[in-house]
Amino acid sequence: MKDNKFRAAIAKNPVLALFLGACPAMALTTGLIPALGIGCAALLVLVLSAAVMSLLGKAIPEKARVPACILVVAGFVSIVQLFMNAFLPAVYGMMGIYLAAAAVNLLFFGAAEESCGAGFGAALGRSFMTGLSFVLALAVMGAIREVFGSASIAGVALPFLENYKIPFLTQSAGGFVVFAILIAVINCFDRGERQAQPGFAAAAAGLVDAAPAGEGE
Amino acid sequence: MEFKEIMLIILAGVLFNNFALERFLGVTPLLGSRGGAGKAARMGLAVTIVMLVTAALAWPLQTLVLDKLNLGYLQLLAFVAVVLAVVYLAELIVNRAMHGSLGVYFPIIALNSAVLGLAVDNAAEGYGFWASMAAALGAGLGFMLALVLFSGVQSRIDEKYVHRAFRGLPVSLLAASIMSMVLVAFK
Amino acid sequence: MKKDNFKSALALILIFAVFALILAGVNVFTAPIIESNGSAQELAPLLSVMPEAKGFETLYDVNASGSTLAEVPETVQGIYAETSGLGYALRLSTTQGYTGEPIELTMAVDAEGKISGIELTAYPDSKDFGAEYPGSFLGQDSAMAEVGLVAGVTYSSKAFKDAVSDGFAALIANGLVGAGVKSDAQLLLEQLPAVFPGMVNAEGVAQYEERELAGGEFTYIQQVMKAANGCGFAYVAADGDKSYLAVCNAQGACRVYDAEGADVTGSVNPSLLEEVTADAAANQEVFAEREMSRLGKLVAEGAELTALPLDNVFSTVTGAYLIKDGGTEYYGFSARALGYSNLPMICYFVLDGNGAIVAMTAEEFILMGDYFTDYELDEAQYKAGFAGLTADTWTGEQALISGATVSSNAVADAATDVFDAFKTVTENGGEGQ
Repeated sequence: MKDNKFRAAIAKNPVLALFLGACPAMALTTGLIPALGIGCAALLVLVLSAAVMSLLGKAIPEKARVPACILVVAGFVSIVQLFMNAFLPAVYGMMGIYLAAAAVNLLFFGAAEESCGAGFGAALGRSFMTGLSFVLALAVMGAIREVFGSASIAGVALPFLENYKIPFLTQSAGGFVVFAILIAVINCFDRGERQAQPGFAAAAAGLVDAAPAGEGE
Repeated sequence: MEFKEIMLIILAGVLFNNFALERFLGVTPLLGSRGGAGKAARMGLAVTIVMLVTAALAWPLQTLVLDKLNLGYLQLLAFVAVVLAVVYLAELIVNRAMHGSLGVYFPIIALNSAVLGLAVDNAAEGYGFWASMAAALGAGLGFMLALVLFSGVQSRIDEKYVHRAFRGLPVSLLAASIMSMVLVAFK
Repeated sequence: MKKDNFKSALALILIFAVFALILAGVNVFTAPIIESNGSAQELAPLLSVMPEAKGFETLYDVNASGSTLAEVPETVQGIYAETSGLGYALRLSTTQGYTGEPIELTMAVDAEGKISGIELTAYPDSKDFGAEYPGSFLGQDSAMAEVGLVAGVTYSSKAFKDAVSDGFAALIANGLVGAGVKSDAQLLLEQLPAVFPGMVNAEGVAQYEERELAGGEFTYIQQVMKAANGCGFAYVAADGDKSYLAVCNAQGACRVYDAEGADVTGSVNPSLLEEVTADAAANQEVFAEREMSRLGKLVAEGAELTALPLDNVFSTVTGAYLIKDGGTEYYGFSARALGYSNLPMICYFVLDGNGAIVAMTAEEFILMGDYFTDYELDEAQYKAGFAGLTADTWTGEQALISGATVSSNAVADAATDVFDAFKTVTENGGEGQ
């Protein structure tokens, strides 16, 4: 059982396998702390949005579903923002624009949309696992980029690595690279089970089909 | 605002602060888009238009409502509502006018971090109206640039054999990283 | 259809409204916390220099209006009064440093007007003045008697010191603290640029090396300062409770001044004068041989040189000579002006009987271009440019080279001093005094 869940966390990892939430994954993993910050915030938002949408989903007409999901996610993100700003101002400062951008991020939207009308428990469980996998992936990326990019971990300097650090890793281009390598590694593990495809393609395809029903004629 | 400053903001949006390649906003559609330069340009155009309209609406919303009434905490929610409304209306209008050639992109745009990111950014920088529009233009053009360039790179990649592990996303990401490095040179 | 549309719109509006309400509620709860976080951040640098502070009241903020304080210098960014009477904290920013980018600092002044805390918060210049320098300000009052500048980083450390001065000035002008008392030594040293211009560089800052004195070495002398360019010495000496400033030029002629700036060479305790003269004589580098050789060559081989006294000359001129070549008489001078990086530019000038420059040269044209680039100087042309200039036609600009202003300024200063020396020497009849 555990093995299955673990494999799912990797093989179906939202970030690494499905490319959801790529934006914060690359932007906020320059260090372990911002990675954990957005990770935990994401977990909260995911679970809360899934819960709400599973309860309200049936009441909302088909057309309004997409915007409703987005609004709900945005609402929860706003709430989390306020709390983080109040109680963890340093971490909040590191979030930059990306916590706000999460409101329209496919990771959250996907979880909310999935939960529309799904069973409450199932929705909670699924979103929680997604969130956890997200945190995991980001923590790994954050740790790698921080340790090898700025010779520190969670802000604590690691002097013995000082001479070997590669600042490139903490830059934007470096983010792309680390991400690419991580995905490649996962792909190796996967043994052909599923190639990493932009998960959004599936969502967008769904979206595009749903467009006539979702946003107007 | 001086002309020079406006030009600088536009240039910044396209080059140094490129939303997709530098700040990772809207990177998902960037990497997922397939279909050649033409399609990429059209999508970029759609994004630019949405950004411009959103910025135009977001600015009065921010300065006249949110700031005046001290409702800063509603910013995200309000901006998201604006983006949704713009996208919905745009789709209505464009679909009627062009029979869906651009329309198919709009829902994706609603979920594009770049548009929302732009609105929040403008508010954070405290830009005036024209500066906001300039930023929207710059960001949109930058996104379009990234899309078009990337589609070219992507078609090249698709022609070659890529090792199984790197196939698909990873190699695209590496390509994106090179493009990002090029932009850093402009900083 | 229509019902569906209506229902959709309603649903969306409801969701928006509900969240808006929730947010408003959360905001009521979190807003005060966020605000105090923000002000804590602003106060952090102030608390850093005054950790025991209970709170601060803003008396002046450069970005806000409505302050009751007047005469606040430009460098002061903010003045804050500590609420329990511990004193004041100030934030300052100066652009007078080497690069012109802002150097920022925070300082705390206690109720007695002494610096109780000081911290450098932003420093853009390439050479830093060391972590101990700000520390040297602790306990100082507005006179800053014991704080000097850091050699090699004079611009930046002067900027720092001036900023601190401004901080004090603002506090004193508004009656918040009392002015500090300057020590006698400080008052005396303030006279130095006026009484011994030769020791001073282009910015008007005296450049010297202070010698460490062993206890009991001298009866009267308290401080010994050797001019950086070798032009002589300055001494702070005390006789009983009276303090004096004594200056000696390169030829050993000495003058003594009291705290009011009066020349008391004739009336001061002779032993004091003797001690000073003796020390100068013992430690002064003798340039005569080199000077005579160089000046002689400028005129002709086999010229005869006689040294002329420079009793009243305290400029950069260290040597004056009467040069006889056959039947013609010339006057030769050697001057050591402070140039780039405070290195002495040793120049030699030969003037004819009427005071017109006949020839000039320098030990080494250390003409470093501004900003560390080497400057290619056409020496022959440069030197030739001086020929024929007299005190009347001399404006100073003939020596200036754009792009190497600091160094060429030194040459200009040297020439000016030489013309003055010429006047002094010839007024005194030329030979002897």
